[in-house]
Amino acid sequence: MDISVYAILLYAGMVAGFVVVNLALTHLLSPNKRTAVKQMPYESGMDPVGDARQPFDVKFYIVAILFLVFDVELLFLYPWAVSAYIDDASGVPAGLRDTVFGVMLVFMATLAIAYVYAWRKGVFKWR
Amino acid sequence: MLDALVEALKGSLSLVLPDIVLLATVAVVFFGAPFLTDERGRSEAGLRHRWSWLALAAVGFSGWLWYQSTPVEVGDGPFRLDGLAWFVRGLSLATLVVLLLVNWNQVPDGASAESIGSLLAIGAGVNLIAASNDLVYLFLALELVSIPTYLFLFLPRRDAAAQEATTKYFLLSAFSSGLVLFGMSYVFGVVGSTNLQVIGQALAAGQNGPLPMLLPVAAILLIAGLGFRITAVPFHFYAPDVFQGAGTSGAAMLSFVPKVAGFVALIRLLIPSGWMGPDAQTLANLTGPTVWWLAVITMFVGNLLAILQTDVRRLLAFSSIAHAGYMLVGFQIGRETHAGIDGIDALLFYLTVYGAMSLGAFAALIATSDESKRYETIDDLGGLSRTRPAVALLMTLFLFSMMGLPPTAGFLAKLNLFFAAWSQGTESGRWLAIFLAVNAAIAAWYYLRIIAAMYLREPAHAENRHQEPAASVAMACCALVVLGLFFAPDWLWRAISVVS
Repeated sequence: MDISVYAILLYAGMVAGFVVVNLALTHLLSPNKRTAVKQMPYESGMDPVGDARQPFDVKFYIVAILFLVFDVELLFLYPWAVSAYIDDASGVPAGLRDTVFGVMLVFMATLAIAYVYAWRKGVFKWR
Repeated sequence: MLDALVEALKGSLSLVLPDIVLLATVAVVFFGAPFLTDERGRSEAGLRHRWSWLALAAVGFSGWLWYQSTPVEVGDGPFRLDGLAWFVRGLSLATLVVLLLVNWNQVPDGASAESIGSLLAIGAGVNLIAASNDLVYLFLALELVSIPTYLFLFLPRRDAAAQEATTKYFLLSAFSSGLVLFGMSYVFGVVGSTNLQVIGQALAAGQNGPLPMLLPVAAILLIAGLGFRITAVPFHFYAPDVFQGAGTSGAAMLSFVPKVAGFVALIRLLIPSGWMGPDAQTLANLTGPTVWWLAVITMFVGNLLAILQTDVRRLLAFSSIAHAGYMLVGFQIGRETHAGIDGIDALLFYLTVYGAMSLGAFAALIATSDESKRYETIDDLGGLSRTRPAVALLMTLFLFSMMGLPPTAGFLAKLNLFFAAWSQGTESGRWLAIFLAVNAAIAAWYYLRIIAAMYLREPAHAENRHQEPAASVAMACCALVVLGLFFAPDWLWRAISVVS
């Protein structure tokens, strides 16, 4: 078996272990007060009992959209980071590296502006 | 090969410098806006003036860069600066100036930055549609026009009608984008490249066999998707509701800018030099009749339904549908006329003139009444010649131009399309010319109704002291173009001759 397969198995094991250990620790160490609200299934702040077809608060959508900003940023940065400074044919051509670096800076600056816009408009205040 | 591509990519940035200026200004506007307004969208009075002046300066600088540029040979890069891109960029920058003036007082100070930023982004999007040399960039540029449009439509008015209009436009625009993308994916599937230059060459070479059946499907999908933008019947049905519900500046923008975007994208995708050769004939046999029917139905439906309208904005919406039909005549004739006027050249001439007269008519509506108690129906415009003689006179000029009467540029524009269709020498072309003439006659009826109301009736509103200096300047600019291009059409023909 190739060595890289072990790496994947090791990674999967660590992920599973992380989940199990954290769940167990929270269960054992956390204070355990049984109130009515805490006994409810967790539904991101929504009331889990009742009609499911109720309008969502717009706050959820705004946060979801803002999450996309960072999601897309990562999606775009990751391939660039992997291929930017590789010298074989799979990488960015040497003559183009500075241009691509500039493009990435502009991209991140654009996202930063969007972030500042959202912050100043009070998106992060959960009202 | 790789080095050439690197050079092409590096060089392509200089081809879109005017658009980068616009987009940088958009970034500045959106960055500065939230610091000058509080979270409830309140700001000091008069902020809209400052943003508008900044935007005008940016458009001016962009226009200076445009004036310095000359068309260059099309390469393999993602952008191109050929004659069409050069012409459309000039047209779009001029449109931006007029729209900024029209929009000047339409939006509250707190939302002015977003409105003006959207407008600049829309202008940059139109430029990039013409300048893109790649299907991916073309699609992104189309979205750069549509997404800010949703914002721009919603900001001036926030009542139920405006919400309905914006939602309607959003859903249909998203749907049409899907159709365009679907069509582009088929083109990519057949040719194996997204570069328009490569696609053109591949199609010109011909596959020496039956046409891949996906290509006609792609062409139909592209025509349908872009048909939404140019409000061609049967993709027109959103237009009257949106024009009526949205703010007047939004309706003004919607009457012209999406048409430029749609027609330029259609010309780019369906009439590039590449669609010659053995495959093109098969394709033309299919798309030609489709566009022929589209043009005829659009002209008749637009004009006949406009007769029934009592709301001015709905009437102008149907009139804009009819004008899309006239322009489709030029698109149908295309580049293959043997004598007389080229169909695409006539289309571009008509597009420019239509922009001036349509934006002028909407500017006149803004100049007459406040957005909160605006004039809605033709009856509201009654007796305008007595309360506001100058506005009524210019409105009459724009309506005369839409009818196609001398001494306005609308007359020459219709004449060009007529000759282009007639001189094609085929029976279908002659019929198209005849239908065009018939429709011009039908259209005169409802335009004359507005003029009659303005000049023959008693004033509907006794007093009218509404002052709108910026919109008045925009109206004067449009009137200058409408009159000037009648007496000196060569000025525009020289610019168009760069295209072909």
